[in-house]
Amino acid sequence: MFLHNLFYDLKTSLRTKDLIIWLMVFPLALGAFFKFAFDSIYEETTKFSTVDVAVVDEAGDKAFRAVADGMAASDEPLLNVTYADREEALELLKKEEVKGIIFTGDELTLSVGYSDIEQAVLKSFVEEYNLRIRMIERAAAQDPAAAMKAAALISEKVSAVNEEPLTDGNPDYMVQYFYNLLAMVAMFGIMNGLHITEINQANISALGARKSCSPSPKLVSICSALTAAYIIQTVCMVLSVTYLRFILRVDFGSSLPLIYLTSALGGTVGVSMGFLIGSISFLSQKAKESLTVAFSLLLCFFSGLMVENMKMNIEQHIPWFNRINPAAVISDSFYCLNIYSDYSRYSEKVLTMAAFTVFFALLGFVFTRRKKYASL
Amino acid sequence: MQVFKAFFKVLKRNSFTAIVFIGVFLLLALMISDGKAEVTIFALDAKKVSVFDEDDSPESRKFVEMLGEKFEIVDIRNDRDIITDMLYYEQIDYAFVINRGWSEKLAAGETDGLFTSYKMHDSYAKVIVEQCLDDYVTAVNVYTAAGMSLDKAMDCAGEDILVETDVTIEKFGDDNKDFTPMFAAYYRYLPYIFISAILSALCPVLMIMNRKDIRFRTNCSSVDANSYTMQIFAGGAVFVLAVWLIFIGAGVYMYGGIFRGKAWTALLNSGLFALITTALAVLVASVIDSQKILTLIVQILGLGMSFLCGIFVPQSMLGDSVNAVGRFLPAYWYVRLNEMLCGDRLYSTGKAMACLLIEAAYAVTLVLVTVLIRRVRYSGAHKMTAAKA
Repeated sequence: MFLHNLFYDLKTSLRTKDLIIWLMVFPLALGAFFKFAFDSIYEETTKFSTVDVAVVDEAGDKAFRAVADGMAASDEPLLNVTYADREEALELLKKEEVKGIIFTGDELTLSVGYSDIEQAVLKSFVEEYNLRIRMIERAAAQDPAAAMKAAALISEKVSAVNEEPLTDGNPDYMVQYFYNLLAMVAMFGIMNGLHITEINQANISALGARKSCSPSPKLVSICSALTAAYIIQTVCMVLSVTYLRFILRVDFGSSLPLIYLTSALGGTVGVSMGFLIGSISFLSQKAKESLTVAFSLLLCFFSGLMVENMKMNIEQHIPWFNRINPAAVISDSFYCLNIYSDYSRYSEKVLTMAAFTVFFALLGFVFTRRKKYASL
Repeated sequence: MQVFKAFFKVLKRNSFTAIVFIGVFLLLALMISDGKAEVTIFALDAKKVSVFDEDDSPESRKFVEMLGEKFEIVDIRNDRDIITDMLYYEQIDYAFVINRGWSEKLAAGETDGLFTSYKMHDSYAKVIVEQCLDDYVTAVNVYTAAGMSLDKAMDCAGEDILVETDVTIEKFGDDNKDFTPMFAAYYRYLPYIFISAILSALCPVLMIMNRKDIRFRTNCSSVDANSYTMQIFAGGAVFVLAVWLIFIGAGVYMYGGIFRGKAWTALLNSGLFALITTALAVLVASVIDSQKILTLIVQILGLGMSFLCGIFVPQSMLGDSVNAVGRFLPAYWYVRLNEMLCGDRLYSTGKAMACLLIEAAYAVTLVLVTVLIRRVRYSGAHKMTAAKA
């Protein structure tokens, strides 16, 4: 009986083609947008590029000119310097032909139109230059004979910091958007879960009414529908991970089989949650759909889909919420797999997801059983 | 005005859905913009650093004290997992250990391996903090070599490191005192909120109006197809006006106070974008008929546009190729103008007008495309084609 029902439930689910297709198109489209946008962010924030700057050298600072000209002669110059008077330089800045203006004098000063990465690079350069000048002056004031020695020490390469890598995984924090995208696809399993009650609840649909008066036991009927929804959602999740990993080449770390397992488990959490919400009989189907969509969006928002550090902000203020937010648990399990080499924290997340699935499904069964209708 | 009245009858029956979505997205708007408007001259100036002092000597404590004046020191437990999480999610920019024997090595003029930093990913903040550590060590070395005692050399190095460079922000237009950073942050996220809230609330109503039974009845009535579409637009626009006022009112209450100067331009900008969203809602509702699919499409449009147009990530951080694609989307011009108004890019009246005109052109284009699609899809021609097929 179960297998017979399962077969037809799968067929029924597959016939809601538009929903299945869109559940697959959703990660495909958003994944492509994310990849396109985030690859460029990586390039923008890490790739070296020459910064255009105007220099107003009213003081005739030969030392600075020597440094600037020396830099300009290098293969990858930090600055592209244009010498100008104050008015010309301001005009260049206004037209955005330069990112800032350096004024020479007792110390270098900087003028910019607004603050951004290039402007911060200029500020860093000016600070560095001024610091070195101060060092030489102070050393010379202490001991005039030491000025040359100080200059030599300043030009020596110092490596005061040794680095200790924290992870062997992919440290690119933009990957977290893909974790959250997968969590959102899993949460949209809620729609599949809602569909189970829609076709089984007698007061919701004609199909539900027919099923309710059939001789097939309700437990078997719902179990098969739930299993079919799990299977469909798992297929969606597996295709999403495959697309992100192999077509878009998103680096989720080395534990790919566990990524698949996690995404499948995440999908079952979404389906079970939808089943539970759908089982609440006093709400209309439309109200349930609106509430579940809004609810899943909120959960994804709190897990960091729209604001990257939202999860950590919540961790600092209400950490228990991250433990019970299914979207946060799903995205955190991907994060643990990628970043941590031991599986203790990951195992905790997997157990939480399994517990959510069982808890939501059991509660859903409790709400759907023993329903009697005076008339339909 | 029969269609216009019918629109509001259907809206009234579906008010629960509209209220849920508007409520949720109002909450999101306030939460997203809150804390995203830190006022710093340079975004990269605000560096959060965690220090673990294993040397624990008077010299190392003095050094940490000096660092506290340069950076924001964040106290966290010296636990590898916590450090990993904090660095990965950029709650701190840098974490490092002052190694045992630091003060002795510094006094002896040794420069290598004085600190151990925890590495997650590369960033400008990391480079700047590391440069500061190297500079400090170099300065102490230079001053001790010049004959100063270690204590005095550390004092002088600290003084030098803490000197702030004189940076001026040139104002070529009006200043942005009328459009505060908090207000600007709230307005920056409005396109995502409008697309998500308005489409989620308005499209279900429009989808009901497009249902076969209602549409066929309307088609055989004396109402002209164009008039029908325009009345739908008018109904949608009135609804969106109410939604827009709710969000603008919330913004004023939370961040803005009364509108002055440039804030009026921001208001006009958001009004134009709300109109674009109205046209988009009518267009989307004309081509789909399922609530579940609507949810997915709204997310693709809302999140997609947000990431490609600089709503969630500033346009300056997006590459040229992304900005080139973003130019074809209305949210790009909205965000561009918003960035000009709040001083993140240079403001000029001509550029601001260009952004507003482009947005208006998008609204008109979307209305025209929708009229065309509805004529083809819902007119007799479409039914005849369907019948032939």
